[in-house]
Amino acid sequence: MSIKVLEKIKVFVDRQVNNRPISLIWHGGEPLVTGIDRFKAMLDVFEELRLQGKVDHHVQTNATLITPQWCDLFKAYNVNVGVSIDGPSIATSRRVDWGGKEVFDRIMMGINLLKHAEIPFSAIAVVSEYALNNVEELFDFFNSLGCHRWGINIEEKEGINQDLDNLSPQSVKKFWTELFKLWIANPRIIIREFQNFLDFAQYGLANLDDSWLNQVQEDWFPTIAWNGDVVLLSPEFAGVKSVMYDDFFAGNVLEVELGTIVNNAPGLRYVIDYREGVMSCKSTCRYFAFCRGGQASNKFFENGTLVSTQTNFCLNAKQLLFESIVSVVEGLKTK
Amino acid sequence: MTKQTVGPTTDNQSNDALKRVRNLAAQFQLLAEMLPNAMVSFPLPEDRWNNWDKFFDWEKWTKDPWGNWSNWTRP
Repeated sequence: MSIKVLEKIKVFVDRQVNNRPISLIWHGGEPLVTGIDRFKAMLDVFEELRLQGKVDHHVQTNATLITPQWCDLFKAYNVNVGVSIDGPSIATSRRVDWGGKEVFDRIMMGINLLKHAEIPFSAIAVVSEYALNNVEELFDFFNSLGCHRWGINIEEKEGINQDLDNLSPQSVKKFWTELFKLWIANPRIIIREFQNFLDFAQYGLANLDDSWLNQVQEDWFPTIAWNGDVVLLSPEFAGVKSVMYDDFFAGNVLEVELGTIVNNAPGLRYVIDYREGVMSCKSTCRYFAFCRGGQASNKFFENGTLVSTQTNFCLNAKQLLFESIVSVVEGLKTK
Repeated sequence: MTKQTVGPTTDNQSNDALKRVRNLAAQFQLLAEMLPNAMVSFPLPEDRWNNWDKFFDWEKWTKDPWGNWSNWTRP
């Protein structure tokens, strides 16, 4: 990514008035491939703003390239590190290098370096058929890993990932139910999906004014490519071809200010369609209060259009999660 | 409470999930007592994310920061 592009982003960030920092998430492919010197130069663009509390950094990495020097850099710039790992070696076997060799051991080496340097990290796992059927092993693994937070993505057919296991709703529900039971018995680490649900439950129980249900949540989530091209709503849209949606192109920061690109978002065809899809969710789905309208990229990749409602992501990550937790909570014996 | 099935409806039931949670208020209260560190009073996800260290067991983590991860087996 060119420094010129980063300077444009810096101008945008500097103009924002927020009571908390804007998070810059360095991801897509493997960000550490950039090399340590180059990465440092990119972070330096924002250093003044970081020291003012206006920005913080996050990196999502497979950890295979982490060295003690990277750890020093993460500490110096207070980078929040997220590691992509799917569980013990058999569950992580789909993560391979360009030569097709499994990278589990190298991921664990990277994690050990983070721990040695006392750098807290979170983990994101893609759950496939093996993990789905070995819940306790998976839970024990992440409990022992040393991460403070674990995010779970049920494997999905999206973009290039079309040749995947067929996961039945029954097995996904069994997975969430077993995992929730294990977690409430030993809630040592934060599990992102459970936390999101519990936050929703707390909010719903604490606030009887439901007017917030009528507000469609909009996080533009601008994703900026190396050349300054911007896509909105889902980072998965970066580099995706679509005649219907003009390749999801929202503008280029070298030509138009990022603030203007975001302000113009409501006029983009794919944003208009997404809003319509979310309103359809609101009028047809009993899980809307919890889900708030689903993921834009899943609507597109699974249904072919953003003017759509339910996806497999909705089913696996929202509806079955909801039903599993509620079924466990229903079984709790109150005094 | 009537059991619900997974899937969309044709009626406007956008707050159905909320109603179901509220119907289980007593059970959620019990859950909150079981999970004092996981369910605190009304944190938004962003607040929780920014304060994650309050919920993280540093003591356990620092006691066992290492392991033979390459040959990891289930404890």
